[in-house]
Amino acid sequence: MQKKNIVHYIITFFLYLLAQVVFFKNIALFEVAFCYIYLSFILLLPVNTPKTSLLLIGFALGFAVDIFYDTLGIHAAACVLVAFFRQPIIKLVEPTGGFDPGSRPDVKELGISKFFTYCLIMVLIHHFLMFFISSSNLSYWNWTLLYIFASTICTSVFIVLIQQLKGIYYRSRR
Amino acid sequence: MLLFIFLELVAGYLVVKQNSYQRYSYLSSSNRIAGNIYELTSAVVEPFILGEKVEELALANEQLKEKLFNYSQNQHGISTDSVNSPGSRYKVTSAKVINNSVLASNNFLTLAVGAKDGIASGMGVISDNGIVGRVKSVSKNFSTVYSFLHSGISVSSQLAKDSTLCTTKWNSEETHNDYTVANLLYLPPHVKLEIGDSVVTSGYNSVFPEGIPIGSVKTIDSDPSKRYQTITIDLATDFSKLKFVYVVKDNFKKEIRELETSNLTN
Repeated sequence: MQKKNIVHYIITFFLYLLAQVVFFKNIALFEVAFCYIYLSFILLLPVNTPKTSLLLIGFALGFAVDIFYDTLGIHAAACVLVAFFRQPIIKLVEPTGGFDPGSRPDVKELGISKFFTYCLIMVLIHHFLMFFISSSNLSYWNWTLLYIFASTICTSVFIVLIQQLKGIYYRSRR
Repeated sequence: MLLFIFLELVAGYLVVKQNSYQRYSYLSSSNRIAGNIYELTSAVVEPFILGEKVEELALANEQLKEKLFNYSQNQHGISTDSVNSPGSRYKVTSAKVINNSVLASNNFLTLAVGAKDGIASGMGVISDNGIVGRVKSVSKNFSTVYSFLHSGISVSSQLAKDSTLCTTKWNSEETHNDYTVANLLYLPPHVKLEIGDSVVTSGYNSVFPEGIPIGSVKTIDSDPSKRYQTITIDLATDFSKLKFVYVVKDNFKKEIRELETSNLTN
């Protein structure tokens, strides 16, 4: 069972990476809202994932995205930060009675509103660091903030949408 | 906690040292895997009926451009006499764009040509309409290009009408990542300009040949109290629609570089 899970996560890792660089890289709503869907991989790892693994996975994923975006280090830094804050933020949205061991912090477990909150906070942390590193000049911080907030909403909505679609798909199969 | 700090430091180091990794093409979009994925997707997206025709045209253009650049070189008398003529100065290679960005503050392109086509880091890239960028890193089959829309790129330019030297640079922050405009720098107030004046490359930095279009003057703000005028130009190249580009190799680059550095040391 454990082994099957690991294979499943490795495949998902590459699927998110591929989806990001092939499809979502080209999305820019109103030329300010970008979509970094690959973050949902970090968001949806099991609750009891050890901190060390979280950080290493975050770094690996960010680094892989960096290669495709030609932004060496930027996504890696942001992803490691998100991975670092994941556990305390999960604590905030933890359902009453706690998580079942081995479960994932997804819509099914948290409910849509809590999951969306969780998404927003995590994505905001990521985008905050990422956009501020990539903007070379801090004097236009108001534009950077616009990018951050627009993209945070865009990314979060897409993440939740994909979760919902997956939910519908699994329900229809049953 | 320690691992967190360590990983952030590694990432930070990579960000700061970006440019020293130019040689390592496997760390950029020109690596084999990234290049193939981008090539595949661009092939799917591209309307394939047009593909072949466009490629043919690009090839024809490639030969024309090569002739043209070398012709204008000879006209200017830069090429030496026929006895020790090192041959033509510019070599042009047409290339398909398989990945391109315009909305970030540092943009890159990936081309489906690489070291096996004679591409090397530092070569200029142009389109049918004007300048595009400079080659960053090369793998066997692919190359990553700094778009002109990159904070590290500035192009030595001149006014087409009177050859006044200036520099063109894309200022992403000031124009909020607008990929249609750029700034013209270092033009003192006494230089008279008109809206619509065209700006071309000077050919001085051995990246682009002389006279490649860059854009035309859009706004002029000449405040006499400032050292330089504030000028924006409309870019000649539509960066959002790049499909085919040309990589220009300057065969004299090494020689010019060597001469210049030897002058510095003497």
